[in-house]
Amino acid sequence: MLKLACPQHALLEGVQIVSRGVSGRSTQPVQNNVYLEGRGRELRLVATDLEYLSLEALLEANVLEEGATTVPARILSEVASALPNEEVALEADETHGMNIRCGRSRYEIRGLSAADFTMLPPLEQAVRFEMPQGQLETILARTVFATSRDETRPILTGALFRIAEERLEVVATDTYRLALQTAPLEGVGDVTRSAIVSRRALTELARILDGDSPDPVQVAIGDSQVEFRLGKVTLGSRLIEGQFVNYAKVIPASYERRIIANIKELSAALHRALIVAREDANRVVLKTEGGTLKITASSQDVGHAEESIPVTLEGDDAEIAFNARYLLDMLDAVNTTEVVMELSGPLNSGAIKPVGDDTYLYVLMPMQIL
Amino acid sequence: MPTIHVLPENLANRIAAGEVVERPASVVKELVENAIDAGATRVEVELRGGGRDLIRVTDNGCGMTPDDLSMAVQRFATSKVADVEDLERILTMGFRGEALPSIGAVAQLRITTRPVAMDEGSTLVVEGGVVRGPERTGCPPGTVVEVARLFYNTPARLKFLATTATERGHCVAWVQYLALSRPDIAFRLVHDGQVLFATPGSGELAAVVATIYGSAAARDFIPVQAETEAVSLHGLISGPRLTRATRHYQHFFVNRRFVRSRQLSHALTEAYGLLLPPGKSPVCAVHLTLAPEHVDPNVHPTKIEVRFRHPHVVHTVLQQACEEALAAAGFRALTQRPPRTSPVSPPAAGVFAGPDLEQQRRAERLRVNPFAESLDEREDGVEVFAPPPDRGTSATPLFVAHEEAADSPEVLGQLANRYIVARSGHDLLLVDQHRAAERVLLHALEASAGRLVRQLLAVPLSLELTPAEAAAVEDHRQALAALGFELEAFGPSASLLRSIPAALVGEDYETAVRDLISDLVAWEAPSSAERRQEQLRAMVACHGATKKNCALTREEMQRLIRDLMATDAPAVCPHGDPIIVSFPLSLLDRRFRR
Ligand SMILES: Nc1ncnc2c1ncn2[C@@H]1O[C@H](COP(=O)(O)OP(=O)(O)OP(=O)(O)O)[C@@H](O)[C@H]1O
Ligand SMILES: [Mg+2]
Repeated sequence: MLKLACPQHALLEGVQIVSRGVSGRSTQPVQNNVYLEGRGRELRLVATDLEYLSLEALLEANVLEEGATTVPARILSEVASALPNEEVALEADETHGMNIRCGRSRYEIRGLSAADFTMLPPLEQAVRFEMPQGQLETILARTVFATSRDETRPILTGALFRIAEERLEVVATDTYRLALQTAPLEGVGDVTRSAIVSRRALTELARILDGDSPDPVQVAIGDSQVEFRLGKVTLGSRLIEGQFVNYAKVIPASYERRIIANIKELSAALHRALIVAREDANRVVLKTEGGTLKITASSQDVGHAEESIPVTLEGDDAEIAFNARYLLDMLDAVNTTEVVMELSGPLNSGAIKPVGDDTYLYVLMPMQIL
Repeated sequence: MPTIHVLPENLANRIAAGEVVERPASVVKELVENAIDAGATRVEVELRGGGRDLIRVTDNGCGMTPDDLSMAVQRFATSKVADVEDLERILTMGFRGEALPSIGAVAQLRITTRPVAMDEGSTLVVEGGVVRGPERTGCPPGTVVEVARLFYNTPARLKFLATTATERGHCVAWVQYLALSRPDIAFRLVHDGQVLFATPGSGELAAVVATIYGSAAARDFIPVQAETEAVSLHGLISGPRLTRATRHYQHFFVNRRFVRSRQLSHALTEAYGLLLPPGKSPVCAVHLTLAPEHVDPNVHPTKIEVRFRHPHVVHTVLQQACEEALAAAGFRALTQRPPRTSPVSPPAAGVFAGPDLEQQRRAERLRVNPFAESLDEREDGVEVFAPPPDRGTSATPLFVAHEEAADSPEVLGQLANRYIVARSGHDLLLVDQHRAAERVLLHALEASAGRLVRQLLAVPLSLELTPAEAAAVEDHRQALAALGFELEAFGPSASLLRSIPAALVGEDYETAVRDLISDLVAWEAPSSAERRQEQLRAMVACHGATKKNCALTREEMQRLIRDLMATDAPAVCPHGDPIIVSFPLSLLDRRFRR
């Protein structure tokens, strides 16, 4: 029968991290619980929706009796956060209940048998690599926003992680635009592997990644599952099954003109133009006149907006219409000072890249008035 | 005086032909059915010009002797039924002895045939009802029936034929039905030299389904089967993800005959219960076997309808079998769909009623001019909402923050994932969210006429289409493009969607465009281009409005209401049904007897 003690703040932190793994919609009540297991010198907490999210945290504890139980995630995290920051004693009883004692507080929470709790199966035959947490954070910030929200096409609601030729490519597309970030991988050897990781898992991962942490994140990609391990916390997820779109075809092979602009200026101008553009499907027209980029938007109901910023133009003058929000999504995600837009005709896709960083590519399809 | 006899008979045949032979597809159906009855294991159908110029059906069946051949083109001459008793237990596709003479009356018909046991074949021609032959000829065993220049002598009927693509689509549909009815026969359909459809004849229904829906979609089908004393059935039904906007894709076969049956469709749909999104129909290919005396196929000239002796038994067996199949595939359904209209107590009881007929008529008027009627409160009823007339126009300042839009109703909550509950001044409003979304979308599609914005797709969507759908897309390609849907042909049975109207960005446009295309198949496009475009826009709006029964966030609701109020007819949907129903405070006061 589980019996242990640990500091309140450690318990709270652990519970708060893992309880996000509960979907709250599970048809099996036990999956709405947090699994607690005392073993050796550790308390292991697990919560999972068995689908796109499994979160596990290990914390140091004084384990008096080894064992496991499960209690409702929401109640546990409310109790844990309400307790004073002192030593907490946890003790499971015969009826799967759990006694919590801390300072002058005593709770007895009803739980369910740990034997019924299901976890994701262990990863087998995984490709493993590690990278600094900050690097993965950047990769996610530049790609996850481009995943689709349309649940009817599940494949697009995740990002593709593709390992090939000692490189990692992360790709996301909602069919209107596509974001592609690459990173060198050392030591994975000559393997090729593709996996589609759900937006839900990646969004959660982005929350717990700590760019300042000296510990790297360890990534393991299996055939049907993926695992990200950050120190004492592990995030697991089932992969989205299916074949990702053939994105190589989406990337323009050439361009006819390049516009180089300052990101801050471009972004500010687009934000202002959006006041009008949002009434016209977010459509803005970008038009160069030599070294000036004119951004215009118009709407029957609202009126007209015109912005101009200085740019460097290579090639002939350009004119093309984009969804301003999609453009801003990209500008917000990169941290360089300048951006380059490689364009061809008004109906051809544009390739947009941060200047001086060739690891990132954003492909955006234009809009057109009929 | 043979000529005198030929004429009236000829006339009679033409009249009968009107029932049997409606369009090229009916000829294809009759000829292929004959090939099936002849015990063929391979049937090839060749068409030219949508079947108008030529239909040729070649089979490897039993063939006919010269004597049989002359008999075959006589009315009521059939080898399949001998007396009334036989008519009670029909197991063949044909039984009237009517098809060949009917076809011979309205086209140039040539039959070339040879039984396996004979060394030589015979050939015969019927033109305008006049028979020439049979003559002896050399040919392989089996039968070739050629029908050229259909309706050449009945110009009125010829004029009624649709475009080549549409007629071709109907022919393909029939060959598919027949292929689904007989997975053990190998079918091949060639149109103008291009193979449109071919089945392996392996006896597996799944193999035929895969050739029609593509192997990817075929994986979404669930096997269903049942065995009872009265009826046994087997087949494939679609998982809840693969649905269509119409029942056209429900293929039922009773004793191997393709039938349309409301009863069977109903049983199937019931089995899905809440698994189906509203307005969606499942797809299926299900074979039912009953003792012949328990079905009567002779209720309709084209035999497409059947009558069951015990309809409720068939209904129950089918529904249960489908429920079990769905459950076994991991889909729990089994609950009833809530009634279409929320149950309303009789108005006399002092509870509010939905809009009555009079109100619907008022709604109709409001559609023409939303300001025609202000909130003049009727004696006892709720109101179809009309926005105050001072909205919008010149007084609107250039940049209004959305939230502050002066007289936009304020959202209070959501009811049953279907209605938005809002407040406007002292009035309580209920807004039908799907109809609201439909109205908003229609407005966007009409927006500032001639200035529709489309979004090109970085990843084009590839759509596998049935030949009938491919034909419909072909027919309406221009009109679809004008609405922002650029569809590029991609092989005979697929299309690439390269752009969508910007108003659909972020929505489930795949479902919208699929439903739209399946609607187009049966769409009788008006001849006026303007009307055509108008109807098409309404169809897009209807299918594109995906906010049916789903939970919306407060922001989504507020945005929807704001966009709705910006349209020119926020109170009534394109079909004339109310979008907003308002309960004035005075009405509530009265209800509370204040
Ligand atoms: N492809 C064929 N192979 C062998 N015999 C055929 C073929 N087509 C027609 N026949 C013979 O010709 C007869 C007349 O055909 P027809 O289609 O006019 O009538 P049916 O099939 O008997 O009845 P229905 O009018 O209901 O189709 C058939 O009964 C059959 O004996
Ligand atoms: Mg026949």
